[in-house]
Amino acid sequence: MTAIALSCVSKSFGWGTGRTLVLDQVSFDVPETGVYGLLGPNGAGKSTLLRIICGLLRHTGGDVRLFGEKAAVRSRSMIGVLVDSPTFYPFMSARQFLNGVADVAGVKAETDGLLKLVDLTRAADQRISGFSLGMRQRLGIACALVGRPRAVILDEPTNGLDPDGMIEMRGLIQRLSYEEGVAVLLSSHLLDEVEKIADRVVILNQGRVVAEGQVSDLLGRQEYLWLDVRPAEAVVARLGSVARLEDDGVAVTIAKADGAGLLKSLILQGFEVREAKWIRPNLESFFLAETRRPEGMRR
Amino acid sequence: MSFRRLVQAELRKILVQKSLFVTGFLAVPAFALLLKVLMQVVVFRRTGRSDLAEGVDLLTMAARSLSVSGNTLAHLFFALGVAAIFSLEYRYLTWRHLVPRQSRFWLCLAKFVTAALCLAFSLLFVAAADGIVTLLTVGMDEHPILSVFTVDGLATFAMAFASGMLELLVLLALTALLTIAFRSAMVAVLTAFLVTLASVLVQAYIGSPQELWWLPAVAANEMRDATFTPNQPGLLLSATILVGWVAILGGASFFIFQRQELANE
Repeated sequence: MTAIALSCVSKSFGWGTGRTLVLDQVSFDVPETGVYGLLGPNGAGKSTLLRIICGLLRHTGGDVRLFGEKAAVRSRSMIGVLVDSPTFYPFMSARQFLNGVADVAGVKAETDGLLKLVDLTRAADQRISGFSLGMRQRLGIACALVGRPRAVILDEPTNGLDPDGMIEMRGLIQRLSYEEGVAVLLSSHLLDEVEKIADRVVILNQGRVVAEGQVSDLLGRQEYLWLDVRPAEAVVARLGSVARLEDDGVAVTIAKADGAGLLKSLILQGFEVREAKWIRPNLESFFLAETRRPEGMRR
Repeated sequence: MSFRRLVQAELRKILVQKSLFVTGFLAVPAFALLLKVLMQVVVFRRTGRSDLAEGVDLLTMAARSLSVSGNTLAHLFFALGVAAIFSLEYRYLTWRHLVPRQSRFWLCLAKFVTAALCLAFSLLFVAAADGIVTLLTVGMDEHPILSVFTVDGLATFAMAFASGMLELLVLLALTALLTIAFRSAMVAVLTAFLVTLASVLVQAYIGSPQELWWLPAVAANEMRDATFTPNQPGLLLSATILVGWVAILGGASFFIFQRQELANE
């Protein structure tokens, strides 16, 4: 079973000529375990999508299912959310706020445990107005965990955190996912962070899914063979569209199994091959390649 | 789902915001008390006159004080309190914590019930303060208390409270509707105040009560008159008009909130 299943979800704002399509037939499944990354440039529709899952916005088309049930109050009780920047009543303490959220959800508060989990025990009775951004983020996570949800949606949870805080947050998310068995849908601009902790990612661009899958598969798909070969231009001319000049060498996009054959063939043809290595792109370069790819050239 | 916990959470929110609670729900009773004391001390004691009849019926006296529910200035303060309850989540962008966890209907209803409880508390505070001042006056004047709690007095008080509450519920529903629609307390309070002011002006300059029977203020006045004047017709019609307004305005609030896009609270 999937934790969150989106099927052809569309959303538009406005009417008539002012109508703007923000999400266009978005489909993907967030598994019941692991960390799932939701990536996309600003304006890609990530926050809108998360707000639709949470019930803050209504989708104009498609279907949202949570743990197999149509998204509604009952099924949403199985998910915890931290949408956008965490906002609270500044006149309340962290403890009061968490108790209030538990009252609304109709669940046991477990406030002390949650505050301990996010390292806010000492600030539990301080007014939230005096909290730093990092403390607010951590309180936001605690709110998302009220009622022991089976899945959590975290929108930019590392926003405003210092490097130490980011490492702590990463650890917390991994702990939630791997020790507590909570499915995590994580939206973030910090691609290296996502690469470190996400098992699968989906990339949105202009409201559409442009790539989706296991991180290792996606990156593997763009792995290429880099050759320091002379004369480089002649090799590019010989290999055609699979080769391009890059970093004083030639980048060749071929399957890993064909690498040895290609090298042998080049050497036999008299090219001087000085160095050859497989280059695996990181998530950032993959992301940039996917989001900058012209419309017609997407997979 | 425990609706009581929802209402308790709402009550906690308004009680923690002391200044808003005092302005919205304690200012009117405080002013009413102050006015009553001033009237007793400055006017009645100096002139030797009294507002107490031969026999003092404490509950009937207190019931008369509930007519504060029709005061336009009181409406301004009450609207502030109600708008504070409804605008809180828009102001602090906190619907994002609540809407995913609870149905919008119950969230909205909890706010309605909380505001209604606060208004009821306010009205009862007015009545209680009036009763205490009356008792003190009676004690100082050695005025014979003929009756404190009579069945007739209790019935009159209950009727006056019901009519006062119905009138305030219309104000509550109007303020809630405006707050939800405009997502702003200030717009809601100003508009609600202008509407009640316009209603008073319309009554004063344009029409007779017979022509303006559909106005909540006219219906509430009719209901109050019927409370204190036995066999006065129109009690049921007035009550129905007020209930109708509450249903229309409240229903519209629920409808708008149910469909409201919370892209940015």
